[in-house]
Amino acid sequence: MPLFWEFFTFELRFRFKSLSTYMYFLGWTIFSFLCVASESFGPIGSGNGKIVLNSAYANAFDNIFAGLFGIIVIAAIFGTSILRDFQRDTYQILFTQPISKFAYLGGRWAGSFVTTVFAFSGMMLGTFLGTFAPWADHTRIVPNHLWAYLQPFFSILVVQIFFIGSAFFAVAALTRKIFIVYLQGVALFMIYLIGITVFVATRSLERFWSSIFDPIGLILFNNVTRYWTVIEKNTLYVTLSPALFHGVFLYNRLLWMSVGLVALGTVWALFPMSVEALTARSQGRRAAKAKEQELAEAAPVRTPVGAGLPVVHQAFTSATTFAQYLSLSRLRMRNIFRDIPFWALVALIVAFGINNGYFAGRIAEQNVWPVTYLMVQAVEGSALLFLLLWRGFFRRSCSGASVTLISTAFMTLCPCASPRTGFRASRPSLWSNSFCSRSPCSSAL
Amino acid sequence: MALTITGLSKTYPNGVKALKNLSLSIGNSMFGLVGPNGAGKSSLMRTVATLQDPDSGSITLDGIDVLRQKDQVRRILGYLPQEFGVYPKISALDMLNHLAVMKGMTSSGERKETIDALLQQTNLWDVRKKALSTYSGGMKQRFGIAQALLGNPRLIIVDEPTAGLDPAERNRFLNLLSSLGNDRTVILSTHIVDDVRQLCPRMAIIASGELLLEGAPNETLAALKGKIWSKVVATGEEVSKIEAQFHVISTHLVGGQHEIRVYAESAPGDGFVNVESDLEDVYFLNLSQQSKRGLPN
Repeated sequence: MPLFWEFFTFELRFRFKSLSTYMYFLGWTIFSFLCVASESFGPIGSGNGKIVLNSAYANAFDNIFAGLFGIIVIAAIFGTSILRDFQRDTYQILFTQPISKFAYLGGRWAGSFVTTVFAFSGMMLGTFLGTFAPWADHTRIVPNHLWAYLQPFFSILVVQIFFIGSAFFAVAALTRKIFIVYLQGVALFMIYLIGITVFVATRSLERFWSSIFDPIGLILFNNVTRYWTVIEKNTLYVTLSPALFHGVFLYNRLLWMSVGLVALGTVWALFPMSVEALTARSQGRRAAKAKEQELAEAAPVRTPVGAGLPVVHQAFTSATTFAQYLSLSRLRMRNIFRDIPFWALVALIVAFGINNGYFAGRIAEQNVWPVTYLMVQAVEGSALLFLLLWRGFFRRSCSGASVTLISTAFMTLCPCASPRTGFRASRPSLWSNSFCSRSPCSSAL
Repeated sequence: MALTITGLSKTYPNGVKALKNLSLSIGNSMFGLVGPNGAGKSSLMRTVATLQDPDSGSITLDGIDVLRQKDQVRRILGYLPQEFGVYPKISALDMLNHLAVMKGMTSSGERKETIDALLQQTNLWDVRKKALSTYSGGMKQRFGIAQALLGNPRLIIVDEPTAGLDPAERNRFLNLLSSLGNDRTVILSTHIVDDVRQLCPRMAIIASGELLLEGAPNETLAALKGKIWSKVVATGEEVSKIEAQFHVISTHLVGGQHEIRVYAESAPGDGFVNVESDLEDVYFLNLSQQSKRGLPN
């Protein structure tokens, strides 16, 4: 148990030293703040104008949307926690210590869980702060009740974090591949959106099973509150009572918590606490490389006998500047196209494009002509969010930090040590970075 | 404390034979293991450090079966891997504290005392609160030895500890290793022969997963006395000519010219002078003899 506690507290210390934890928290705070403080933001704010913005019902819907958009955040926190030792090459030091599987996996998982719950708790703070915004529509804001915040948060988001986090943790631990970490988040997001689109298109009147099997809750909550009046929406809670709409909310939570438990059980049963099993492929590669080196060294040690290098001519003209520009652009594009988060975002945007494109031709469940202004709205809806995400990711890669590989950091140093003509050679690289990272974003939309 | 390795063999899934029926006995002192990159040193070290299992063979450490009682070994083991990474934003102090708990040091007082002493000993006290990711190569290596000494281990394995260190750092590191005392088993794996000469009363040379030589450095040197000959030539062609005629062990550049060292029972001819043999000659001679026999795979 002391070892579990050590892994758990170390994970928390590690996470709370990381800026991203606070950025996630801030992101959710701003999101929920705007849901209350802005009349045209969020699922409730932009909907029926008589619904109270800080009611349990509104908070529940905001939380469901946070749970949907937050899939990738959950994947990033849970997935990386178990991959860290293999990415950072610390596993050799760790796995030569007398540690138990329970302490290692349990501590990492529990630390990630608490961190993610903290990050999403920004939802409660943001809503609370939003109710004090002087410009907000105060006819739609009622006195704050703690339970109206806590009940939706625990019954929706904490459960979401538990089961999605556990599933992502299990997949990351068993595959030990970073791209899977991002891919699984995007995949779940896409499958869910496409699933909803397909389900809505069938115009099915089935409400019971579709509510229970809904992993995110959009269909579930629509079904449960479908016939609620405005007053009911402003006062009632979506509770876990078996009497509420045949108990679908209770059964849904039980089902998905069980999925989380099964995921934890699977990782417990299948994760090998052996470096040899965990790194079989890289060990073989390392040994083969070492073998090549040995064969090269087996010959008597010789001083190098110099060989002549071909003669070259250097030119520093405007053509050189352009060639430098092209070369740096190529290098930067190659780096970005090899970035896993880049492709994760592209996939995310494509999913959004498909979904929004479909709904552009439907207003209030009626088919309409998808005229230009509807298509523009469909694209505009999520474009800003993604452009901000994009900017966040690739601004960091411009400065050579994180996201992209260490080689990026190293390579950014190289142009600075090379002769340049006209203007700073690092400029073209920034331009090309900005251009080539954003253009797929636009085309995907 | 004695470590006995018997008939160790290891073939990786991609067919590379890293260890071939290797047997070795290591006593209660510092033991040097030399060999070129890829000789199987790291595979051997990783096996003793409980990170991987051999296909066959056994390892015992004072009655403990290393291959089966891994947790027992890990309690008394200090391991500095050849390459290791660190977590970002975590200081040496935090990381040592984390690892100390894993080593079973649950008393916070004792832990603090040990960690403070280790940070002083490894000259990291002033930077103990700085993030490990900002450390230089030498500082990181010293942190590596500090973590390997947590919990007063009786078996210490250091794998290529001086690779990539500048001369001053290397010297400091070797001093630190030599101060570990004689009451424990220390295995120093390296491809820098000089490290072994300075530190180890016993040594072994391995190449291609096989043991080529085991003994005390002084004894192995005595066997070569009067058999190493040196000649300085100016061009690469001359080097090639001598290589074709004699058993060349190594060539070095000295002031822009090639110094050739040859192994011969008697004077090989014109221009050769008899020189004092050093441990590097022992090493290169063994390697070249093995490569002449052909590298079985």
